[in-house]
Amino acid sequence: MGAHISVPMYQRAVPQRYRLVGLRCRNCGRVNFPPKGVCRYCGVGADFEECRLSGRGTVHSWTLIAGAGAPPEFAAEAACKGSYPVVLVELDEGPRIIAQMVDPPEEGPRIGMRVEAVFRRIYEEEGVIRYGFKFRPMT
Amino acid sequence: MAGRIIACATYVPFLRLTRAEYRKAWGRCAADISEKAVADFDEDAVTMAVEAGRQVLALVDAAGVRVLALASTTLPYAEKMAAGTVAAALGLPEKVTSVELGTSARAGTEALLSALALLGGEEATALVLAADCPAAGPGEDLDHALGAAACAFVLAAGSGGVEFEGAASRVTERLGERFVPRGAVRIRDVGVRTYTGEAYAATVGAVVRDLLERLGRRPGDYRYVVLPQFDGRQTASLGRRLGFTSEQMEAGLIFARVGDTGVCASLLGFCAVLEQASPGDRILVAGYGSGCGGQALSFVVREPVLRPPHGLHYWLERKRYIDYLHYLKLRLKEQLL
Ligand SMILES: [Zn+2]
Repeated sequence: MGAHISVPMYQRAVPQRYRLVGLRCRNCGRVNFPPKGVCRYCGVGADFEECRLSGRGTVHSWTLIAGAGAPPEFAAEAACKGSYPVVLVELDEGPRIIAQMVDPPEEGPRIGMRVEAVFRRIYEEEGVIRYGFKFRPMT
Repeated sequence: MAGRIIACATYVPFLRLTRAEYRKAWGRCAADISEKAVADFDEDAVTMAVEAGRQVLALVDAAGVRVLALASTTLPYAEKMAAGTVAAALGLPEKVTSVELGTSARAGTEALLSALALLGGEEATALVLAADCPAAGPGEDLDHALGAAACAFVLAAGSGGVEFEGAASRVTERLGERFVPRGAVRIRDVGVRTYTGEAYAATVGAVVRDLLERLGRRPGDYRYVVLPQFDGRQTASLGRRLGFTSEQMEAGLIFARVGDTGVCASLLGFCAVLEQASPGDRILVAGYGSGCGGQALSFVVREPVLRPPHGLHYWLERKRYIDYLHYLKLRLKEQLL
């Protein structure tokens, strides 16, 4: 179940994938991430200002992806690491996003654990490295 | 060429491989490390540069950065701008003047000198990023020392901060010492350690003496001396021959804990020194590139640099040990992809 994302599509998302640029709704003030055409919170706001998220948040839930469970673009990574955690994080600005966790503690992630976004290679396709964010435990 | 360092930061990846793992796998460890840092599967020179860069940009305004100098011998693409990836990840202005250096480990000090030159007298800041994760064939002695790390410096024109006082540079022909053929990713050499050691000692020794002569200094005028570290004993013995004491060298000796970090081979130690230096201290830092050339730079501390909450000590202590099999999988990841 690989999720092929074309290079031009990935290119358009560079600001959000590289430095967590979201959109603050001028109607209700909430931050949409990833950016949306119409505010997902108030359902009417379509006027936004760009804002850079702090990347800090809290683990809301998590799961462990092991060997065969990984999508094809992550198969080599899973083969190398054995398994890797994926976390659902509630960012301090409100949005909830899913990403891998790097440098996890020996005992695995914990719900409520504080994390920060870091810049990593996500996967490589057609020889093009796709960079983006993952989460790391904060200390 | 005036200028000063106003901030610095470091990054060391989480994973470590110990000397004992080499002994178990190969019966010996060819490098005088106790452990070395290893980049994870999803790390490369660009991601590590961003890690160090983000820390300094929490201290100074990214919008004021006019110059970006990026140094690495292991940028992920042989052709394609890496500075753009870094600039986009860090939110630097697109109008930044960027340079990428990296045909030898000397690119670290080259980046500092280039940034100072490009800045000129402008009322702006320059960001210098050095990051490297060199690799050799897993069966080669050369590979045992190779580590990974990144550092970031923010430079500004004018006086104050950690002031640049001058530099000396030399370049000459030296065959067969540490090279990567075009199209390859792994370091090779002719395998004669005394031969390569000689080039290092002669070249770094010469630029350090050039610098001291140019500035009218003696070895004792420096509180800290940081020589490039591709091997622990080689660095210590050159320091002694140049007339530096272990007190001058100690704070900048990082090799045994991270390994050979390529373009960071002296800059990481330089950061360690900057974190603890006091006003009035003089610092000498040298760079070396195989094939071969050396550089030596002199600084005087007027005011301490700005530092992020996590200094080098934090990154050195934050770690997880991996076994040799795990390391081997990381070294062979190109074949897994
Ligand atoms: Zn809204």
